[in-house]
Amino acid sequence: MVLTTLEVLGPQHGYGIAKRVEQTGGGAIDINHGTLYPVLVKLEQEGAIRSEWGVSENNRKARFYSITRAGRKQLLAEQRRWEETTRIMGQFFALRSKA
Amino acid sequence: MKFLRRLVSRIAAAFSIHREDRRFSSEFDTHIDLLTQENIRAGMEPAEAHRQAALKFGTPSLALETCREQRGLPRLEAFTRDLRHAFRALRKAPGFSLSVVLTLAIALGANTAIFSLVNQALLHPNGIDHPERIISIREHYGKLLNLTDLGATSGPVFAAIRAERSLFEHTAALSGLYLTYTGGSRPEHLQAAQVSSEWFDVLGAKPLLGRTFTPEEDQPNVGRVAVLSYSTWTKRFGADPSVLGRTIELDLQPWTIIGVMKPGIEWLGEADLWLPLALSSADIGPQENFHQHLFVLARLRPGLLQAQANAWLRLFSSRVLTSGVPGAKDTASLDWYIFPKSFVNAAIGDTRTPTLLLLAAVGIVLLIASANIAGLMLARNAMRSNELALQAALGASRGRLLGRVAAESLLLAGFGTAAGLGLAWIGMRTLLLWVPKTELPRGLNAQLDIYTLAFTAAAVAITGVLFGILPAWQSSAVSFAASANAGSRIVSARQKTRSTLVVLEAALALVLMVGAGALLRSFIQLEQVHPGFDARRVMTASISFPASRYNNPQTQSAFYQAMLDRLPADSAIASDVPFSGGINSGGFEIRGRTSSNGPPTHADVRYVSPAFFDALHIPLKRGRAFSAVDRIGTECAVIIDANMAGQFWPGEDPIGKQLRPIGLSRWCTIVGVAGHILQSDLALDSGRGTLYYALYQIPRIFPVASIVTHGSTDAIRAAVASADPSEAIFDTKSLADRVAGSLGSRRFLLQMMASFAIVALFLSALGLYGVISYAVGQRRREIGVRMALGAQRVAVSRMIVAEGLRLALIGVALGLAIAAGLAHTIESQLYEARVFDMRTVSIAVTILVAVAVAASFFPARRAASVDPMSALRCE
Repeated sequence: MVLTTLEVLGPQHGYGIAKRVEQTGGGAIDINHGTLYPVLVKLEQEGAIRSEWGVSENNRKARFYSITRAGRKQLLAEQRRWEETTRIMGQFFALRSKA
Repeated sequence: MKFLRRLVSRIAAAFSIHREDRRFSSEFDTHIDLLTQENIRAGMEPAEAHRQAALKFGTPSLALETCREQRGLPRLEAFTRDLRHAFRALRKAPGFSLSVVLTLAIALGANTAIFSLVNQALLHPNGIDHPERIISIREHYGKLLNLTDLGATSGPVFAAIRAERSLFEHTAALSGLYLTYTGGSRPEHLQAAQVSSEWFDVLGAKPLLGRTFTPEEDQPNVGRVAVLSYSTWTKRFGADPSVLGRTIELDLQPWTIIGVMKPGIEWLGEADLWLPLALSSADIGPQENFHQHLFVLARLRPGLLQAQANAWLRLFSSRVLTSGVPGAKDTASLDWYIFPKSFVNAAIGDTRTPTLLLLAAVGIVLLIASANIAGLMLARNAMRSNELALQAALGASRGRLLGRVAAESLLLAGFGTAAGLGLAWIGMRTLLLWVPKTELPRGLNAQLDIYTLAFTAAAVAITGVLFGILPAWQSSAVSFAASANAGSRIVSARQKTRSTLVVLEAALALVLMVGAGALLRSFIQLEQVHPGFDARRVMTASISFPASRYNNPQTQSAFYQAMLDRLPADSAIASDVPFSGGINSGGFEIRGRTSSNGPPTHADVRYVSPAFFDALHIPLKRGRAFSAVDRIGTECAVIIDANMAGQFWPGEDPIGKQLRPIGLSRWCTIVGVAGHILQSDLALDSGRGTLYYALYQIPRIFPVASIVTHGSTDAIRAAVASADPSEAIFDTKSLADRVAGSLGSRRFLLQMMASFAIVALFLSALGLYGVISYAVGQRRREIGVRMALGAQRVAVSRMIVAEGLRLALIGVALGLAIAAGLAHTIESQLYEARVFDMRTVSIAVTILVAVAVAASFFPARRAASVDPMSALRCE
C-alpha cells in the first residue's frame, strides 16, 4: 500500500502516506499513524524506497519518501503475486458457489 | 540479498542510534502537527485537536522503540547495554570481581602454560612440519641383552630406505661429531650434526639465510660446507648476514658456511652446526649391516600409515637376514628386525605419562577453580536475588535477566582469560629459565601458539559452562513472589549446592596432595640411593680429539699424561664418566668356555687411567687397581665389577681368570674386582656388569674422552692448554650435578605437582571460607536466638567450625576414593613408594583438615561476636 501510494503520488512525507492509505481504504483502514514508520524503515533498508529532508506544507522539516527502481520492481512482483493468489482463491470460491 | 542489505544497514544504524532517534522524533512531531492542523480545519478546538491527533498517531515512544528494533541490532544493543551494566556492577564489587578474575587467571595460566609445554613436547614439536608423518628407524634384538629398541641403524639399511621412494618421501641420517672451532679468541668446542642431504626436507625446516646441502655436496671429499644453527650464528658470529661464503676453521680444517637455519630443529643431535654426512659407497656396503651408528628419520608420503612402513620394514628385515650379508647368519637367531617408531616417541623419549599426569593435575586445579567461582557467583546472585526479582516483577523477561547474569560471567571470563594468558606467558618463561635445560624435554620455548590458544579457549568454555550456567540457571528461576515469601528456602537450596562444590574441591585438593606426597617420598628415597661412587667435589669435563691430529694412540696417550701431570694426583681420564649419557658396551669370550652355554658374554665397557677408582672412591673388593705398569707392551690387565664377577664367576675367585674382548687378539687377565656403580639413573640399575680396560694399554683412538678430578674447572682448562693449546674442554659439570641432573625430570614433576597441590589447597580453602562465612551471615538471626537463649560463644564457634570440618571430612572420604582410582597411574612414576603410604596420606589429610578448620575459624569468630539484640532487631 505504501509503495502504490508513493508510485501514484510521488514523494510524500509520513503524514501524506498515512492519509492516502486511509483515503484509499475508504475508511475501512483505520490505523495508528505511528505504526507506519517501522514499515518505512524496513522498506528503506530493503532499498525499495529512499528518503530525504524537505519542508512540509506547514513549513516544518519533514522527511519525504519516494519509490526507487527496486521498489517499482518489488511492487510489480507483489502485485502479480497478489493477483495470482486472488485468481486462485476466486476459482476455489467459484467452485464452492457452483456446488 | 534483501536480507543482506537489511543486515548491512542495521549494522550501520547500530552505530548511529542517537542521530536516527532524533530524526524519527522530528518526523513524528511534524506528523502530529499536520494531524492537529487537519483537525483544526475540521472545526476542533486546538487543545482537543492536538489530543485527537495524538490518539490517532499512537504512542510516539512505542513507535520509536519499534523503529529502533526494526532498524539496528536490538540484541546487540541490549547486549552491549548489559555489558556496560555488568562492568559497572563488577566495579562496585571489587572484592568479588578480583577474586573471580584472580582464581580464573591462576587456573587458566597454569593450564595454558602446561598445555603449551605438553603440546610442544608431545603433539607439535617445535619447528617440525607434520611430525606425525615422520618416523624414526629402529632396530630390535629380541635375544641380545635388552636391545629391544636400538635407536640407530646401519648405512645399508639407511640407503635401502632412502631408495624406497614410493613409501618414504624423504629419508635422512644423522651422526654426531665433536669439533674444535679455532676462529675465536680461544679454542671452542662445537657439536656438529653430520646429516645427509635430505635431513632438512624430512623435518620440513627451511634456512633463514642461504641454503642447505645439495646431494652432490653430500659425497665424500667433495664439499667442505657447513650450515650454522641460529644460536651459533647469533652467539659466535654476531648474527652477521655476511657469514655466508665465509670460511671457518674447524679442527684446523677450512669449511665454508653456506646457510643459517631458523631456530627450532637444532635440538635434534644438539647441533651447533650441520655438516654433510657424506657416506661413502663402503659406508653403505653389505659389510656395514648390523653396524648401527646412524640416527635415521623418514617422512612418510601423505596418507600412508606407520603400519604400512612397519610392514615394509619387516619384509625388508627378513630379506636382509636371508641375503647372506656378513653377520646375517649369526643375527638370524637373535630375533632381529627393523621397525619404525613415531618421531615424538623417538626424539622426546617416554615423557608421556609424566606430562599427562601434569595435565591431569592442572585440570584438577581448573575444576577446583571453576567450583570456586561457581560458589562465588551463587553467593553473589543470592545477595542480588531481591534485585533480580524486582526487575522480573517490573516486566524484565527471563531472557533479559539471564542475559544480565551471562554478561557478567562473560566479562569476568574475559578479564580472567586475559590475565591467565599473561600469567601463562610469564610462567612459561620463568619455568624455562628456572628449570635447567637438561631436566625438560628438549626444544621447548615459551610461546602461545595457535594450538595453545585453542586449548585455552576450550578451557575457558568449559569453565564458563561450569561456573556460569549453574548460577545463571539457579538465579533465573527467581520470581518476585518466591523471593519475597520463601527467600530463606531458596537460600538454603543454594547453600546446599555451594557445600557440594566445596566438598568436591576438598576432595580434588586431597587427590593432588596425596599424589604430590607420594612423589615427594619417592624422590627422597631416590636421593638416598647410593650410586656406588662418591661424587662429592668431583669435577668432570669432556674433550674431543680431531682425527686429523690425533691419529694414533701414542699421541693421545702423550696428551693424557702431559695433562694429568698438571692436575692433582687422583685425577683420571676415562672414555666416559657415569651419569653423562650412554656407556659403551661390548662382547668378550672367556678362556676355557664356549659361548653357547651360560649368559651372553656382554658387558658395559669403560677405558680408564689408573687413578679412576681413587678419583671416584670406587672400592676395590679384590685384587689391585691399574697402575703405571699397565701400558702398551705389558700383559693385558682388566678389572671387572662385582656384578660381572657374580654373573660369570659365581662362587669363584675371578682374579687371574682370562677373557678376550671381541676385536682384540690378546687374552686379558682379570687383576681386580671393583664395586658396582650405577651408570645413568638412580632409579634404574641395569644390573649389567662393567668391564674396565687400562686406557694406556689398549691401542685405541678415542674421539672424545672425559676428565675426572678433584681440581677446579680452571685447573682443568690450564692443564689442557699446556698439553695442547688448540684443544678446548666442554660439558664441564660437577659429578654431583650430573647425578642430581638424572633426577631432573622427576624433580620437575614433583615441583609442579607440589605447586599445583598448594594452589588447589589454597583455592579450596578460599571456597570453604566463602561458604562458611556466607552461612554465618545467613544464620545471624538463628545464632542471635541461640545466644539469647544462653548459648556460649565458644559453643557457637564450635558449631560453625564443626560445619566446616564436616564438609572437609566428606571431601577427604571422596578424595581418598578418587586417589585410589588413580593410584595405578601415579605409581608408575614412583620409585619404591606407594600412593597409599600411611604417613603420606595422614599428613595430607591433616593438612587439609587443618586448613579447613582455619578457613572456618574466622567466620566462626565473627559468629561468636554476634550481638543477639542487634541480630534479632535487624530482621
